Amino acid sequence: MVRQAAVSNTVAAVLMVVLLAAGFAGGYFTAAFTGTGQTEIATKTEYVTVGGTVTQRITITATTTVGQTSGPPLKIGMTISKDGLFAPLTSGYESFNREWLNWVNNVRKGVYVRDLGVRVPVEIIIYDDRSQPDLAIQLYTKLATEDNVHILVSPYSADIGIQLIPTVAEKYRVPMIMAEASTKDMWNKGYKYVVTSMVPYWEDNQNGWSASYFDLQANTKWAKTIAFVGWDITWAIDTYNSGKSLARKAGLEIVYDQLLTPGTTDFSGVIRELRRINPDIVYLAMFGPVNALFIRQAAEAGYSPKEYHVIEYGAGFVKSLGQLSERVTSEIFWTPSFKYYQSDLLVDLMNKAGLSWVDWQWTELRMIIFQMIISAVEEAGKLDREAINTALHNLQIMTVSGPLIIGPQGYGNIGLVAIQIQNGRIQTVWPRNLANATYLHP
Amino acid sequence: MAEKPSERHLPPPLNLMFSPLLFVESLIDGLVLGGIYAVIALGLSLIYSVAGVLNISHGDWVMLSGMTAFVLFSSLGSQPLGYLQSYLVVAPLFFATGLLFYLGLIKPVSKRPKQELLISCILITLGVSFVLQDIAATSFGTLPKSIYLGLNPITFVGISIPFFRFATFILVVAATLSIWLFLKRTMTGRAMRAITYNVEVASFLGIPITRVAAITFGLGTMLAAVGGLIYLGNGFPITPFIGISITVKALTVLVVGGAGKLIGSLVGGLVLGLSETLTGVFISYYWSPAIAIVLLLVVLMVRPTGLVSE
Repeated sequence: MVRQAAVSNTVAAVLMVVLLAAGFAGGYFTAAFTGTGQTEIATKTEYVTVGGTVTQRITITATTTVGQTSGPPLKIGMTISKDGLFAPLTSGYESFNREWLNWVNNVRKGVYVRDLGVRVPVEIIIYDDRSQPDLAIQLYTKLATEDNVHILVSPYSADIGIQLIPTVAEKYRVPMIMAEASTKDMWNKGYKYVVTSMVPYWEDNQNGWSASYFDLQANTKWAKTIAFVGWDITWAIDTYNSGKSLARKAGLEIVYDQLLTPGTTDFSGVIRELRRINPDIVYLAMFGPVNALFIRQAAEAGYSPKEYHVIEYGAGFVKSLGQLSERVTSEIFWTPSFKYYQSDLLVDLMNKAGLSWVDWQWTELRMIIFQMIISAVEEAGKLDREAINTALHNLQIMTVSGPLIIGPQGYGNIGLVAIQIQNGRIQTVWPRNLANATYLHP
Repeated sequence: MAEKPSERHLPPPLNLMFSPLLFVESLIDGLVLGGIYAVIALGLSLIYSVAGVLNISHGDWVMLSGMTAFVLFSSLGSQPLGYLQSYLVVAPLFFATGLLFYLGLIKPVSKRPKQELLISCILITLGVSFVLQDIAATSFGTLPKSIYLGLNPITFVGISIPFFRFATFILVVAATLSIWLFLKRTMTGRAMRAITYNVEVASFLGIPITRVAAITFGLGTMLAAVGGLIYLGNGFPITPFIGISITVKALTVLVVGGAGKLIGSLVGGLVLGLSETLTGVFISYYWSPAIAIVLLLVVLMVRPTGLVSE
């Protein structure tokens, strides 16, 4: 018996050596031993027809990482604006996606799919929508029907996002997670395939975009008057309107309001009027770079209110404004001072992606989306759009910005906190339990 | 609940609506904006009337000069002096580029019949427009570029004007006068005017059409570049994609003032700039962009040759 066992062990050992050698020769173990895996980025050019007549050139980037995973990949589809109005705000997400993919495929070793009994690799397919709604619809249709992605992530801004829900998500029954895009009409029409992590920020209650900021004003009471200036686009109007209501509730008198056509970049007339009215706070409801432009033009005209509040600062705000950005207030879903789930990982991924969290304000929303995707797929247990959609609508998870619960209408409960730029740094100033700096005011 | 759209505006404060100081300041703003339009349109007008080319890429040269000046300004320490120095580099550089643009792309089709030439040139300059956008996007990125000169505004009798608005006024007057003198007093200028009146006769008189057209292209592109520099200096943002909207504005000025007329470009620019600014301040900022179209339609219906006579 002992001899038989010895022979069996020898045979088994020889077999193992042979198999290992074959494995090394075939490169099977390379990724596992180097610990980094191999990232393959494939880029190709295709043409799509927009609006029936216009042909657009598009660049397709598919990033996959070969690691210790098996089975069919989990496919995520999205567009990123590399050109046009939204490019300054979103083009950096591509490098963040790449770093997250490296992490999920090589460090986390994929996403576990219960029915397959394996951890599957993740693949992200990205197209460039050039900030054009028509092109975005074409590309998302392609993602849903030709690329057969399991989940869609919306592009930047509600104006494009809202058009994709009926035309793609609902039509082809693909779950779509709204990234930096949400507005009332997305959630009151009974759509079944759309979710977001964000609170309904158009409301004039604690969910409101600037609720934290106006709560701060109600507590400090230094300001008496406020002026509102905004661009007439979905997201800005939502924040502009809820902000006005919240300002009144906080005891502020609204002495001026002005909605401008999107694209307005000459603010000289508005600045002249503001100088004469002299409000304590000027509330700017426009995209980050446009807010910076307003502040610069006002400074050139010799005007500076006691405080600026901007609904977004975004890429290059602090750097481009320098001293002018001091004491500007805004809001954000996350800062590194938050110590919730995977906060350190987010910082690490952003560093590797070469993104500063000061410049790329909404990257935390992308991180939350990836956290939602992993949880939903592992909960669903299969690579099936319906199952993943059901799981997404029942999510109750911890995220970088705190606990997330998706409500029955599809929106979540992740809200914003008030921040202030102090000595070139973004500091959380409200609510008290999350603040890491004292709010500075006149 | 958020407010209904109809409730969202406060009525304009009466003391603002009847403020003479605000009116004067807005008037100055309008004149300055109109001046910028005039300089840009002047370049387009020269190219159109002398070389017979409707240069769709004109606004993209404005954009590219603004981008170049932004880089120079940033690399020279973001100081006002650096901005002024960028004029010395950008203006001659764009003159030379315009010259080569004509010789390389327009001259080969310049012998075609008038209709074919017009269509060919629209297609060529449209292609150049796309190329310039791509070059700008890949070289400078897609972030809006704007500069902050940090100069104190000029204040007198309660009126406050940003310093560079004042400087813009001087620059526009200087640019217009220079072009006027060039057209009146130099041989090349006279040749340009002769071609504007009748190209066949000018050719018969021995004027070197190709050489003059090339110089005109250089001059027009240089004016676009100066327009871009002034545009940037006034704190307006430059992105790779603003070119086409600037071209449309310049074309509007051309139609309103009258194509091929120096004074026409100036008048057209000022009318457009004043209309946009005063409409914004005293009626609604919503109507500012639309006023250009309204003006265009009114002029086309009432005075199709433009506001300025021959």
